[in-house]
Amino acid sequence: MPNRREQAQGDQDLGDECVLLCRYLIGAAPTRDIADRYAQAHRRLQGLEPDAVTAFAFRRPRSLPYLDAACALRGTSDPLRKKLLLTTALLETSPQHAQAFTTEPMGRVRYLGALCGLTLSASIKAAIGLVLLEYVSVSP
Amino acid sequence: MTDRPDVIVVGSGASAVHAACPLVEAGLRVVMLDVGHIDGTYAPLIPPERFSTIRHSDTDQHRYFLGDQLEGIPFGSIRVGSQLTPPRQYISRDVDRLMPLDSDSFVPLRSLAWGGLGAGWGAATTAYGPADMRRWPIRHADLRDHYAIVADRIGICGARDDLEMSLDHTPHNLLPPAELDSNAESILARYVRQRENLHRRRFVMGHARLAIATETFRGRGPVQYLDLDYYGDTDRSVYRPRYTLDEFTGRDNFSYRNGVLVEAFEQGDDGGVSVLVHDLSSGSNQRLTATRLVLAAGAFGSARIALRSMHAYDRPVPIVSTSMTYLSCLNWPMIGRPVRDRRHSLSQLIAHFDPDGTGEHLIQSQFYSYRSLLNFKLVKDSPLACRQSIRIMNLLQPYLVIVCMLHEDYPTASKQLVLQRGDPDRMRVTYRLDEDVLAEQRRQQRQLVGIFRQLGCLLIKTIRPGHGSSIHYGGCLPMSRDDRPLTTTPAGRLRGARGVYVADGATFPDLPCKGITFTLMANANRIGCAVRDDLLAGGQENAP
Repeated sequence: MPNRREQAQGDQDLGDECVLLCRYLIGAAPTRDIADRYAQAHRRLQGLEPDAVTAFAFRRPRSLPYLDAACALRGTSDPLRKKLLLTTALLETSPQHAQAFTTEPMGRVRYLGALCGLTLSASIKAAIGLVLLEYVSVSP
Repeated sequence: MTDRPDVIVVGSGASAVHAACPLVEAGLRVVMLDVGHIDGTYAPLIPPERFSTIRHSDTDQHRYFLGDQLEGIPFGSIRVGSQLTPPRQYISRDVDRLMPLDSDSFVPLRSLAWGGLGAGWGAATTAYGPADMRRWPIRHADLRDHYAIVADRIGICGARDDLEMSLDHTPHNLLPPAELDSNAESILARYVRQRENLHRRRFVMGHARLAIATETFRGRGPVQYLDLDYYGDTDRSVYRPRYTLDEFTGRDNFSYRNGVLVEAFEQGDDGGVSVLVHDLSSGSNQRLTATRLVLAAGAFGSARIALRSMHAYDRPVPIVSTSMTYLSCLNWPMIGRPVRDRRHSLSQLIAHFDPDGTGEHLIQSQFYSYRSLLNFKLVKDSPLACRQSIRIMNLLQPYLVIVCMLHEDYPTASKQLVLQRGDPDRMRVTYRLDEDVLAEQRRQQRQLVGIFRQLGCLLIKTIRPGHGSSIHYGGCLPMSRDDRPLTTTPAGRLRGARGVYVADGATFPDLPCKGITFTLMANANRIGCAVRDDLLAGGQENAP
């Protein structure tokens, strides 16, 4: 059982994690409620314990999009993806961030352009991410 | 009620309440025994407002959308019960503990809740036709009146449209059709434009027939189109078995007892039936007796009680289950158009496809729009990074159509249920589809995907959530004209047991690819009538 100071430090770390993930996912910092729920979820759920990939991503935040894309392509259910899914769910069910989960209607050309652009961006990130993932998994 | 009841009914789901109806209405003394879990946590939190409004206003929404234990976030793969949102998860509470079932190939959703699986029913009411029942020992005409009686009880909305071409029963008092959402409206308009061509391909489509009160009906509704049907019953428009139970309230000849699990029955000395009941709160056992017993605890629940009572351990009985395939499609021609917020979440359209033109293998597909189940579940299954997936799903979701396709099923040697002795006894299910059946299902799926493309729906992904997930299963104690053990007579009486009837899907010899629930209710009403007539005639039908 962690003592009170360790728990406070743990919550602080989880809060920082949550801010990082929210900024990555929707480009905005989370509300305090979401950060609290994120920390509570880590106390309740299993499978969120950090692994080498998660630790690397949080040490070097700029690697996060690439590692996320590579993990998604692999289809594995690793802690990084679970943390991202958790954060997405918390954001989507918060009135302050609900707008980030809707899109205004747009014309077909723009729509197709947006779809292609996003898919291309994710694919490039996945290609780089796969190399990075390989590096992370073999590095000490 | 102090005297011995005339009938004990086990369960409170769609079968149980409609089996009880003719008995209660005839003035017979009926006791309903049930585990009867309810949701006391989430239902009071859900405001009676539209989903889109809640999303931008309710700070507590995470509680009922995700659950207090975050049980609404699917960290694993799509599994049986994935369709249950946190407020509906009480439906399957305690099932694995109280009625354990082992299988490496079949994971059915079962229930011990008040209202059974009917508490989360999708409300689609498609009656079986004569071809669907061609292997049954009863005729379609035997069910026709009971469909009508049940329709009067539950209220069915729908339109008199092309779907009638493939339906053998239209309620005489059909409620006005539910409003279609924007996706369904556009698909139906395209269907109408191509009607003749699609009819040549043996494909018809129409408004879903749903047990939704589109106008005030027996104290329910009218539907408010809140798009919260996966979470709660705020406007009481979608039929739930408990509403029929509510109508029994105050009747002296009916009582409902929850918190008890029926373990077994045995013949009483005086010609009645004695039921062994386990009280879940005190842990004590008790015996109750009645003149007749009606098992309607769901196919597995009833089979468990019957097999235990008849000491039929390790004896295989059949099991049938309609397989389900979800086809995620993009309604391409809708892109760029605004979609309406006012909608219900349930099936919008129903299509019937007759692959070989005989009418014997009709395939039913139900069309849903994806919205109120939230985008994060789509993000989870995306092969792309979350950041991009969120934006892609935001783009796709308003135009996403989920087609739910059912496949018929027949008993074979590779689909069996066995009860094994233990504490508690355990059911073991072996369920395997032959390769030629799977190939045929894939062929039919390809044909349908071609038709959906013609309707503007482009296939994105196919999901097969596994055997048992359709919730449409049964056949463990099939009705048969042959006098074989562990079967039921066409009137629902369990062979080898005096005074015991089975009124749920356990009696269905096979399953066509249509929703089962409306027929479960009609058949339960038929069996309830048989029990009533038997009792009123002095019990002549019950020679052992």
